[in-house]
Amino acid sequence: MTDAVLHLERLRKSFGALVVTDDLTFDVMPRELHAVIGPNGAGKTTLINQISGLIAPDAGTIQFGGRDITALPTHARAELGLARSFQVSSILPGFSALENVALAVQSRAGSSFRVLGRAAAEAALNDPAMAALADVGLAERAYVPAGELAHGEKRALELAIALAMQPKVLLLDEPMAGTGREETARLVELLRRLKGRFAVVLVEHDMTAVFALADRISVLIYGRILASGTPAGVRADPRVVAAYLGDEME
Amino acid sequence: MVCLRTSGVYFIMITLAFGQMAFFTASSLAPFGGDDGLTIAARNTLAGLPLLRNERAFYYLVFACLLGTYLFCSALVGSRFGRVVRGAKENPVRMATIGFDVYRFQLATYVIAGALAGLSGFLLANDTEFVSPAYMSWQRSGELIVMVLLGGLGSLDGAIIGAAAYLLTEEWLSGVTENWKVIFGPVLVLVVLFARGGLIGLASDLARRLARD
Repeated sequence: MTDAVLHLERLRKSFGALVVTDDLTFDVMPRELHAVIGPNGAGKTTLINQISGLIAPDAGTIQFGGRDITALPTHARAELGLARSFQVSSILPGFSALENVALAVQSRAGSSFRVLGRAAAEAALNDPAMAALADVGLAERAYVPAGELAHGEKRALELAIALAMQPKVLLLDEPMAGTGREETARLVELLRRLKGRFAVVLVEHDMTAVFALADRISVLIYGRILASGTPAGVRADPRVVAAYLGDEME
Repeated sequence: MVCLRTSGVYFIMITLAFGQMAFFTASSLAPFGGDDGLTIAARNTLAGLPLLRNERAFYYLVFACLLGTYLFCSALVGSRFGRVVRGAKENPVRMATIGFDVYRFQLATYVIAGALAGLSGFLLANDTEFVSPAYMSWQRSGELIVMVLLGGLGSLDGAIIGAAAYLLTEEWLSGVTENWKVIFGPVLVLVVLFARGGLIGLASDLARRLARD
């Protein structure tokens, strides 16, 4: 597929003798929500880390928007429009929620070597940041230090940071991890609303959320894609049921 | 440049190592007095004028430099640039995934810090009319770190208050006993253990407690 916005070709990564990404080929189409599911230790987070550039693959290539980004550092990939969230919320705890998002706006806007003028008072940074916060329902919490937000709010803040980067592809590493049922429902609703603005790679254990949101699902086991297809197709696949979904769905 | 390729403790150790290299190089330069140091014949002139010879004028110059540096640094911290640097201190991985090349910002900060240190070295040499390799030794670097720790890390007021507190304590304790560091050492340990924010942190804690009552 040449029109994929993100294309991994025979990606390989091992830690010592343990192969965590095993000749993996994977596509994400524009505006598609592509979920990656699989048991613990299947290599999902390692995969996300390789796409965002925090871990270098041993072999294979990563193409983003038709361009080979395998050798690019993390920040350059982000500049091209690759945003991500982390399994364990990764925010700037001492900064207010608004500042966390304003930094992402600033990154898009450039001119971060400006040493004069108070960044905290710049409407050009704060207005888009506020809009992104409103998008995820955090507008009222804008001035609270990010470290003091509730767990679910931190997850929403990560989404707001990603939104402010106006990404082409958003990598979500277990956005529902550790959230309660009500918060999960809220996050699913939020993702449903954001879906279609850009492509999303969703790594998630919550099967209700995955089947509610995904256009396509890939099942990852021992670093390989076991099956890939529509939610209905994957659910019916006997190999997937045997290897993974069997215990999850009961 | 080499130092910035490492981080954390390694960064400190490599910076110290380079400092020691400079120290021993300077100590072995006989034409400049070797490790005895060098007495400077006269203070620098400013625009051809011997302004710095006058003690009072020199004091105001130093004071103006402090004020200027303070204002410059406060502006820096609040600017776009400063916000990126502060963010990189809290969470460098997050900053990289937002799209900032953290290394470039840290390099620029390092250069600014070096320039300010150069300015203070110039003023110190003019004040004492004497330079010696001892200024490059790791003990001197340690003293500077102690000042910052004492005042409060990551705050401009903290650095100034820390420097004043350190010098005053040195003055006072060395009047009490010659081995004043025996007393000062444990005090510093207590500060690090119980007042992580230094004197500035203590003051703001106190203010908060008073405000609550």
